[in-house]
Amino acid sequence: MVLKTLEAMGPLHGYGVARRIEQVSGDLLHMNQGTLYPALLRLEQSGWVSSKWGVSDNNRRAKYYSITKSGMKQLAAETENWERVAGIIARLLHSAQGA
Amino acid sequence: MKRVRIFAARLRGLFGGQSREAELGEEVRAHLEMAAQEHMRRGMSAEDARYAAWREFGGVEQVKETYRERRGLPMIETFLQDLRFGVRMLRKNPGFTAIAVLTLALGIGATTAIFSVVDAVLLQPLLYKDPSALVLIQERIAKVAPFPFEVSAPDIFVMQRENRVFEDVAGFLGMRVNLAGVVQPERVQTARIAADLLPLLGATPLLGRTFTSEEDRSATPVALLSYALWQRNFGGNPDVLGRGITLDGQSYTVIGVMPRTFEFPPRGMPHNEPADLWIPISFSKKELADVRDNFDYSVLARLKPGVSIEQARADMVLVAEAIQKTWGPEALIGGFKIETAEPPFREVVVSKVRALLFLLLGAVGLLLLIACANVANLLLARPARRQKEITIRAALGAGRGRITRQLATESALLGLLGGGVGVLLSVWGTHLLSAAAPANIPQVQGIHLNPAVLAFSAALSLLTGLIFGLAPALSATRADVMETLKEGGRGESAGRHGAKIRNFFVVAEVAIAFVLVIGAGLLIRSFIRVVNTDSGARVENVLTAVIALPSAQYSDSNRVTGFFQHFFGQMKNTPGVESIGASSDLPTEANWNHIFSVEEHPTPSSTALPLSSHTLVLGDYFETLGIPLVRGRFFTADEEQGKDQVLMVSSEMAKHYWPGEDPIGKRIKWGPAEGNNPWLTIVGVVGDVKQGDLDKPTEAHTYAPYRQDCSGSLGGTSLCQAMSIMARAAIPSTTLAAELRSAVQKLDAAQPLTRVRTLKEVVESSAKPHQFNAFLLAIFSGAALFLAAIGLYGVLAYVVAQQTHDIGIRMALGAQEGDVLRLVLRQGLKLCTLGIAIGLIGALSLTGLIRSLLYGVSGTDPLTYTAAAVLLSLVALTACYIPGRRAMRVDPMVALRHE
Repeated sequence: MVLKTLEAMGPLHGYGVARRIEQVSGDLLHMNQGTLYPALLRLEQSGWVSSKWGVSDNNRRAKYYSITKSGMKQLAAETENWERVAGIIARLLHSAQGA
Repeated sequence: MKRVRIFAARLRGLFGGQSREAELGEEVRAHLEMAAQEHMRRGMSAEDARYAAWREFGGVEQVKETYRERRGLPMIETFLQDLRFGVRMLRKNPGFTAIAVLTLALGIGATTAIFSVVDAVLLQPLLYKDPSALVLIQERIAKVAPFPFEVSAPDIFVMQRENRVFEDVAGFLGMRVNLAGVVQPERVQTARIAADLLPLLGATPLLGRTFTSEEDRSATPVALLSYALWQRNFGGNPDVLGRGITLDGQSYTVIGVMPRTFEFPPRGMPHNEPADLWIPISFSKKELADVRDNFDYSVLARLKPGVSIEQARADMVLVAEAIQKTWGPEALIGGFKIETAEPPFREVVVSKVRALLFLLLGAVGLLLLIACANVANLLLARPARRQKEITIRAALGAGRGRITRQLATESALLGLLGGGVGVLLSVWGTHLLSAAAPANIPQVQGIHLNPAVLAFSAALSLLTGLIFGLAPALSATRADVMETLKEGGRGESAGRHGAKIRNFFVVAEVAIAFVLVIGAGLLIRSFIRVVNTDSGARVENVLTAVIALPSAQYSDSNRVTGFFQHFFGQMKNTPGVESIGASSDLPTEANWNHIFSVEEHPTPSSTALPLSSHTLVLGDYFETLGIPLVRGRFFTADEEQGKDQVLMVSSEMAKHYWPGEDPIGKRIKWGPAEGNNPWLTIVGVVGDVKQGDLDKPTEAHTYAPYRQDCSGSLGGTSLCQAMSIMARAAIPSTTLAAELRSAVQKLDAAQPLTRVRTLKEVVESSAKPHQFNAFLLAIFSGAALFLAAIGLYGVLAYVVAQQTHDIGIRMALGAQEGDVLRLVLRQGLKLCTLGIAIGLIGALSLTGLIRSLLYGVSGTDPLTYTAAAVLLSLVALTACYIPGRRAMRVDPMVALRHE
């Protein structure tokens, strides 16, 4: 989710990522925004995102995260994987209903 | 791959803690501000907006903590944190740290020093190539002696020819020669060795070359120097190759120098000592022809690959038959039996000192245990403040495991510090040990701190840290949070439980110290017994030395006796000199044995012929040594000229072979009764003199005039050329030595006077190993006693501090100072008595270990046990008295106000 957001929006600070995810989910997904940071750290340690300090819209120093090349690859793989699983489950559910 | 990358990132996360922490804070702050601003844009008040942002974010500190855990490696991070904290704690209590570290250093240092000796002597291989394949070969002829002995020259040749199990067989023979033609003429230990010997040992020279089989066969006079001799007498100059030197008057050419580590024959090998000089063995025609005697040569062989020692033994039975066949009727008494040295070579060398080394290792191990117990008690008795700190940690949610880890880190740190200081101590200790070690400990030159020894002490340090740290850690974490906090300032939350552990440790310390003190006491008593053993000679005021007359100039017995007659004459004119004589050996250093047959008392053919030590005497030998005449007379002038075949025997011999008879006029013969040797008539009986070490039994001894065995042309027999001289005089030994030297110089300026020692030194040198044992164990037990006393003191001091309140109440209720003192002493002595009782059981069950090192003292010697118990009680009493006095001085008012 974070990777997809970064891919779609380009470099973004932590708050931006959190807001974006909430917006996309239509405010259905309410999370503790703080939990985002350890997740970002994990992605950075895996080398899928990189970070650097920048200045926000209203002139505040903030850390901007952006997706890296290997992050793109990982996203593609994850997406494909997810779609396959989702597809299987969807089919399973449909066939179960159909029966 | 991904894991590695994460690990690397986390490893980086361990460092630069502060700036990363600041970044994290900044990032979170930015997030909250942005969120609040957005809320404000939607119309919230500033304060509501901030709260909303916080709500959405979740717990700031929890997030940060999760983030931190993910950032670094928590295991290592907590470890580093514990370490920093531990260092801080140790720095804050310098007194405690110093005592703990020094106590541990003492234990670890002593253990490391002894282990380095054990490592060098027992664990390091002999410094020869593949030593497991080396075997010593001896001959065993039941008829001659009940024990195996060295091999004769002709038999070595048959052995080389007939065996099918050895790669190589090589003989060698040690001897002392006069080295001349050098800066500092000296008497050096030399080994005649076969050319094959050095290749067999895998030894190569540092400089030059070793000699060839051809040089060995043709008796080419070439010599190899030891590193020590090369340094000592040739200044380590490489020009030494090709130089000429003189050995006992014969010229030799130096062709090589052996490396520093090369030592042969190995130290501790019976009848041998490391040589400074090696020359070809080059058997003479006479040696090769002597089939029936001259069982003098040590033989070393290397097993062929894959050949077991049993196969070698089986093969040597065939070789024995071949020898029998080769010499036919000439073979001595028939029935040769040849065996490989029972245990492998290495065992021969080290078996003698194994018991001693294991005893010492056991002793230092016990010392280390005491040190551990002491430090554990110190940790247990640490101020109550520490207990509160731990309890507060527990109250704040630290688990028992976490706190134990913290404490274990601290004690491991202490252990390592102690280990570090201990290794420094042991450097000094090993120097001391290798200097003080008796000559029979092999490979002492190899004693040093090598990586194996250092690894050993590092492991030891950590282990001790764990051992002494565990009990206090467990006891500390056991404390009930509520109880401790309730108890407030008074602490002592470990309460009864802690006291029990402390008492247990002190009792254990006292018990171990008791065992060590008893061991030391037994060895000291043995040493005193050995020193006080009567050697049979009157050792005061006698100086001895060696004069070895080279065979080139003194080829005939008249020249030798002529020299000594002039020498004795000159010395007798020296003021203060009472008597002077010479002999082939000195008391406690007998080196010549004869087998013999007694006339009228034939030895049954199934048993071995008896053996006697034999000494050749010249001049006033018996008077000078103070050996009393028991019966009969001394040799007459005619007999001293070798005109009659006579002997003097020792009381022991007279008693054993002619019980209830007068031995004067009886006759014995060297070798079997039917042999060609002449019958020798006994003319006198003298007092017994020790032949070997003072702790060995006295054996039969025979004496003959020098000329009876050394007459006419001597053929270089070293026995007839090198004589020990002895002079009894009422003047200081240094003056006497100078007089002796100048008398020799006047007669023959080229002859050195060597090995100048007082007879007392000669006799007492055989007590050296006992002295070494007693000295070391005394040091260890002294240290153990000291540590146990400190332990006892520490516990009682702590108890008194804890009981100040109680004592105050007692005194307020009318207890006298003496009552209080008794109260404290009673507690101390109770522990001490229990310790002694347990130690007694321990000591009694361990006597078997020490028995082989004792002389004249039983392992359960009541005197030693009593003395040890008294000593320990006195030390304990002193240790208890100091806290006892402090208790006595408690002011009841102060103690009660303290509450």
